[in-house]
Amino acid sequence: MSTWRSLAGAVAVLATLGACAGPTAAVPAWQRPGLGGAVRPEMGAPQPGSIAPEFTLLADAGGELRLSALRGQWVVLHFTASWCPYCDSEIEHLAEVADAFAPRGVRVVLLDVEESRAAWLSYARTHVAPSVLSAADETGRVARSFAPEHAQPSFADRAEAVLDATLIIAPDGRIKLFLLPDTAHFDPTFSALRSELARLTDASGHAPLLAPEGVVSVSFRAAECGVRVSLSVAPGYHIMSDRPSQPSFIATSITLSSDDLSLAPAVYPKPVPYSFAEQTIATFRGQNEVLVPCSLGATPPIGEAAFSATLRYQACTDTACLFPVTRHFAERIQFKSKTAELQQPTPGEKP
Amino acid sequence: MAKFIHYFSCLPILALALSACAAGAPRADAPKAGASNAVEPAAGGPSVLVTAEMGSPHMGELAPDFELVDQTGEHVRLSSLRGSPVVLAFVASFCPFSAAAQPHLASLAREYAARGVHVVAVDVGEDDQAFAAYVSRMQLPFPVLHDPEGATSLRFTPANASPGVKDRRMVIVTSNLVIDRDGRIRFFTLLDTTHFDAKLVHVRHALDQALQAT
Repeated sequence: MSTWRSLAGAVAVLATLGACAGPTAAVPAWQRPGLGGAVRPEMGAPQPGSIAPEFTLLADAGGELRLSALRGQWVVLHFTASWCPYCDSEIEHLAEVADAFAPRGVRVVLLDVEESRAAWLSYARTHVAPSVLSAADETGRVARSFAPEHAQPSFADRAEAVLDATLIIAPDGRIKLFLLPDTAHFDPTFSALRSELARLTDASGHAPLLAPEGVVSVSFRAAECGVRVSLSVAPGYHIMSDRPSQPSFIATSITLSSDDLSLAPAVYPKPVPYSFAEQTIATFRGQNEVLVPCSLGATPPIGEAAFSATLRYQACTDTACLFPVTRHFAERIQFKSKTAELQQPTPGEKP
Repeated sequence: MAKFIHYFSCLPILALALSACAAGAPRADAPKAGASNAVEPAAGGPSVLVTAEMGSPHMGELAPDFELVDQTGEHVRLSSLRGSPVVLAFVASFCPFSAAAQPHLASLAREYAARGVHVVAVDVGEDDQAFAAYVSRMQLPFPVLHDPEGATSLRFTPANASPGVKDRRMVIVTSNLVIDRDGRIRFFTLLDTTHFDAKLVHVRHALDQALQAT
């Protein structure tokens, strides 16, 4: 642990220099090529840096489309309408963005603003590629929640202020880039967005690092008897496994405590080997399912159960590591019956 | 131990450094609150003027002539308005920018009527039903001409304007032209969403100039 501290101190200065270098740090987004539509601070909330407003909509492909279910992945969110000529010119290129960036853990989400779902679906059938997640925001409620307060002040319908807007949302749910349409420099191929996306999702050390808390997104759901914990590790990151290769490494651990449930220790998935400098260590990457089962002989729960959870882990990319973090959760989940496991849609998957 | 140090020598702190960097980045070039181009149109004039590089028609050329039918069934021919300055606005019921500018176009028409200015709108590419619903909802105090196929609108669309827009009829929606007494285009802007001029400040300015040049 003393090694940890001294190294940490020594690296701090270098890291500071490294992280702040680069031409993009001081130049506001809207002054960079192709990003003239970037929201300005004086337009009001939401702004880059804030958590993107949560939404749940009926996905065109069935099931629900919930933004927070995509935590752990980069999201490109675009607002469209079938009658909007700019949007219509862009829609085919949105599929290209989805395909090109899928290997980097990027999901493209398309929301239709204030049209009937039927009208939207008849358009979407021929215009929206299967690699794009889409949904109709029939009432415009979601669009309104994204509309910066003072953007397009002449628009009485605030939902329309974000029509044709495009956002990049980081795996921790924060807005990284928020572009309103810029018809004076209209580029239906999203080339400026692509370069931003390439820069942001570059895990080779040039991308800004996530906060340790943002690396793993966590969700809890009921198992037949016990609790399933999904740990989604952001693309380009790994965390140490529950049984790390060196005693000094920080083990990933999740502990649940509950008055309503009698639970046994967590059962972790198989680790993924990660090799560097002639050694291989045990890590978790991507999507991981941890099961916290009922204690032996416990009765399967019915109805609502409350519990608290503590998650500890330590994350790295290929070139940098973050401080260990301990996160606390207070959750309530529903147990339906003895046999029927509570089904929740798998994040981002079309059936 | 050597390997261990190698692995962790690129260690923690980056996260701390990063947050300090993000918060402390100087923003000297950020516009002051209230001076936003996004809220008020640019002081230096509109940024999407239709000039010769965009193709025809452009500012300085004669406006193409056309005849269309307005909301009352009257035939309106552009060349018949020669002798008066004309504000020609391309509109569409579905376009939020177009809708936001409508009340301002209406007040402009009322204010400039006494000075002999004609305001004429062309509704682009909408069917009979959509057109009828639009004109009855808006009750605009000037002729709104119906261009159901968008053929007339297309003749006003410069070939190189907004090349990324596939439906060429739609490039012209929310455009405003000021045509002088001789039928020449004095002012022609396309939609600029980041400097959106809902109040038609620039149109008024161009109109005042056209009225002065007797």
